[in-house]
Amino acid sequence: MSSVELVGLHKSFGAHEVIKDINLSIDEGEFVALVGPSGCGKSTLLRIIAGLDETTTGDILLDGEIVNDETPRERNVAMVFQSYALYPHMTVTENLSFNLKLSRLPAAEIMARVAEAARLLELGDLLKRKPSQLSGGQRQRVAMGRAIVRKPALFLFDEPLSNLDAKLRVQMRSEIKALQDKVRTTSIYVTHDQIEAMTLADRIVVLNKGRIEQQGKPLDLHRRAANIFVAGFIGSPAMNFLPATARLSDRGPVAELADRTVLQIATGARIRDGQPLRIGLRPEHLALVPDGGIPARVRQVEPTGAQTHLHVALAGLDVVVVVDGGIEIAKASSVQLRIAPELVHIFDAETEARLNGDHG
Amino acid sequence: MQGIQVSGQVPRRTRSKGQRRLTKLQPYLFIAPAMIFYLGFLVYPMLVSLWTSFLDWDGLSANYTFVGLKNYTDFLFHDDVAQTALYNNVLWTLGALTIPTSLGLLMALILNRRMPGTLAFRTIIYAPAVLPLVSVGLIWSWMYNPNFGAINLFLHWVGLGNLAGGWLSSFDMAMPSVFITYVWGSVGLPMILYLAGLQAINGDYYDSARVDGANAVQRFRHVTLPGLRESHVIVLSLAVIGGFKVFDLIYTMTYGGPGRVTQVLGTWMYFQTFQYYHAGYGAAIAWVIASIILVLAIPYIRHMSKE
Repeated sequence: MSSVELVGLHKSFGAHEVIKDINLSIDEGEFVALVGPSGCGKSTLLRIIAGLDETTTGDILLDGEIVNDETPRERNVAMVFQSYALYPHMTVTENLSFNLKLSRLPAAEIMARVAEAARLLELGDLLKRKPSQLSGGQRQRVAMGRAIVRKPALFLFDEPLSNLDAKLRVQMRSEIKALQDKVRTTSIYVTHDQIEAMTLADRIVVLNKGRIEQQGKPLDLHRRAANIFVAGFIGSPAMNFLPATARLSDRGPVAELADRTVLQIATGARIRDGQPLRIGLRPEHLALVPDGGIPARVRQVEPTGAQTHLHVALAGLDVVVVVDGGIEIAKASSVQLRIAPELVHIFDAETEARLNGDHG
Repeated sequence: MQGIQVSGQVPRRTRSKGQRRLTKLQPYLFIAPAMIFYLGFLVYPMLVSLWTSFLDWDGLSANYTFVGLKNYTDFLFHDDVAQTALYNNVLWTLGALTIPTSLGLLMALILNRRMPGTLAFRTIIYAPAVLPLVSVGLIWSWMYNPNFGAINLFLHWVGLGNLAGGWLSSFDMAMPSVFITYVWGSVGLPMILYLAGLQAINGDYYDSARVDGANAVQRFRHVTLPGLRESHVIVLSLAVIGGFKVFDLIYTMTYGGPGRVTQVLGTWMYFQTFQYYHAGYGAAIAWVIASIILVLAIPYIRHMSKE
């Protein structure tokens, strides 16, 4: 197990800078997810940590030692690729043992380690098969086995579940979690799927355009997103954003929406009267009330089973509301919405930074 | 108009016997034009040539004698030139399997990198492959000319005049000289096929091998070579097939000489059929060539394609 430290990392491809001043510390045994949209630099960052790409400037430290010039093998990292990258001409056993053979381990040791990985990942019946004879989930498991068989200091996952169907993805997610609980190896997991990040990671690092937007525990990011980007990225369905103007009235601070609808917001926000805002409303925080709420018209109803997603028109914008799947609401009907003032996220319209509550 | 039936019975369209027969025939009618061409221009001539190989026939007159396997036994036991030709073909094929294919792979590996000018180099190296071999043979015959050929002029110019000679008239040098011409014209195709193969190898395999600790040689051995399996099948099969049907270069450059030292099965078949009017014997040589190619190439293609 290793601790990881990235100090002032920059990476440019020609004139295009894809990683901009990344500073990050990861403790031994920690599971960190790097999330962000396509092109945010998360995979490049992972490749730099693996030793597959070089930094332009900055240092990578493993256990306090600078490893910038070391090969992936010298760094003792294992990586699981999105495409699994299992050698197609080798059997499962040969795939699992390839690294160990290159390391010139004794045959008995290799067989013992392969058997152990096969037992952990239930690959026993598949050892003589080639990758083309395996299903997506089995390939994924072999890719994981190939990583753990080496007993690396650091696990790197590059969107390992992206090629699986939705059901298998959920299953493999819990298998990865269970495996990590068993081996407790420091892990860095790259994904664009925030649900994967939320469910797996001890800590999430949100990247955007090569910079760290925010890092923290999954629920902290969900509850106290530092800015509009993070707030919009974390959470599913995504947060609703509405332009508003801050009003400081006798009844406390309120947000006035474009259609003059007034929304009570929590006291303590760093706002001034007349300040342009963007308020964020999580779909699951909006509740239907019989009366006294904000009136809205239902545009679209999307039942998902346990929940129903309502698309409603609020202040002229499309807002998603998550309600219990048992509630039956017709399209074009009128509803009343309420949200607790402390659950309204307030952002500066210009800087897009959070204005209420702390963020870590 | 009739309303929707609610009885649960779906009305069926009935077809006449003639219509059903036509439906069955339809696929065969679609492939019929191609089949007629295939049978008329490929299968029939092959069968005629096989029949001819059992005859003593000059290829022109109406008279012929059925001699059974005599043409084949003559080829195997009584024809010294045929033995020389077979030996030359085997050597040629071994050379074709190794030299242009290795050079093509090497070129492909070099030109698969992102470097300025790679497209120009690819085009230049592939260019000879689009020339007819007859033209290639003629061009190189001029270059090998002992009096005004570019090769001897060059050797004199760099002070190696003692090496200059009659390349195509030398018993020792004629075959290697023709083979060099073949290599010049044959590197382009394997290079293009290997380049296509290299570009189809997922880059993740190389990254994975690097993470596994494989050095450049090990990556070539465990990722590149297996990844080029399909390209190997095509390149090596073409080399075997080409090695046994070589004709144009020998015909234009040495005409089988000096003596008969550069005879190959293709030219010997031609001489027997059209110069000496032994059509039956010529057909037998053609079937020997075809059989060797089938025996060598088909098991290889089947084995490699299994994976």
